Amino acid sequence: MSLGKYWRFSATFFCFMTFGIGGMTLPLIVRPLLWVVIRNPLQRQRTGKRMVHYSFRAFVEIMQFLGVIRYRVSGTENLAKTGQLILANHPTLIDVVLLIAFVKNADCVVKESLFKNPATYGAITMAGYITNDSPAKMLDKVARSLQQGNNVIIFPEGTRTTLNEPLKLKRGAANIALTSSSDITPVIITCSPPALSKEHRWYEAADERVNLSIDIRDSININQFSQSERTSHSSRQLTRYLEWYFSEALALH
Amino acid sequence: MTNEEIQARISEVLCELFELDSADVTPEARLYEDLDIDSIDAVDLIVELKTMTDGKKIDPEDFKSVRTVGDVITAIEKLMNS
Repeated sequence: MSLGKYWRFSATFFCFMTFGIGGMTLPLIVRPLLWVVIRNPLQRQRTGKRMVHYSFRAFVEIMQFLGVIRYRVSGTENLAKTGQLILANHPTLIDVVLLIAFVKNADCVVKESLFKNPATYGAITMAGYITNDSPAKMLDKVARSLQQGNNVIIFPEGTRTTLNEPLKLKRGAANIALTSSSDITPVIITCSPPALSKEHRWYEAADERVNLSIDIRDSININQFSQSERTSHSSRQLTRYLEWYFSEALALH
Repeated sequence: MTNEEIQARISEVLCELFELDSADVTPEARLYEDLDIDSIDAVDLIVELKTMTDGKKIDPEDFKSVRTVGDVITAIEKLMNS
């Protein structure tokens, strides 16, 4: 093992420990404080979201400082509005951390299992992120969150991308966009060399520093897809379009 | 409505809602794996089927155990005869 790789392995391990311990302890301290200081539940959640945003930003900077990752964010001007529906591809374990670190007022649809994970439970409940346990409720919650001005992040693949396989999206995201007539802000995330994917164990350090690029694109107008009177038809059409869009964007890199 | 009519109607609804070929909609066909009907489509399906059962609605919780087209037919028959 080269010295660089040994360093990255140790630094990666340190980062995971930091995330785990921070994720368990920070909410224990911050939540009661917020509860005492802010009486309005909605306001409290909003502040909770901001706390997670800044903590994740700090975490991303630590990872960069230690040489685990190098990040590049482009197109932040496309995040100027509120209540945006952000759809991103999902190559790595830390995509959501990066997105929340750079998107203000970020809300997020997360896997139900993260609710049971002690490292993520605190942040999720403090920020009031949305779980995907019941589809009907999830649709309502996302629509409401968009109305409240949050930028809702969804990974329409539903799970991390499988390397070297065609990109396949679930239709939930398209349904949400159509039912809430919300334009879509696509985000293209790339990771080179591939790391922290489904095929890697989290402690497998890459041979070189991992370059993560986050490209926030121009929004996709939803009206062109809402012509059919049946949402089940439009959502299929929109999902096909998005699959094409993401595949096309990723092939260019 | 006879059981055959119920089956025919459900098949029709599935084809209409989800752009399916009626030849693929057999009682053995699995909704998710074979017909690409996901959990959110199921919400649309439940709403659509409500018109068949005089507004009696399938409990989405019960619908979680539904795997095949045959299961949908059974669930609707049960609801109509209850």
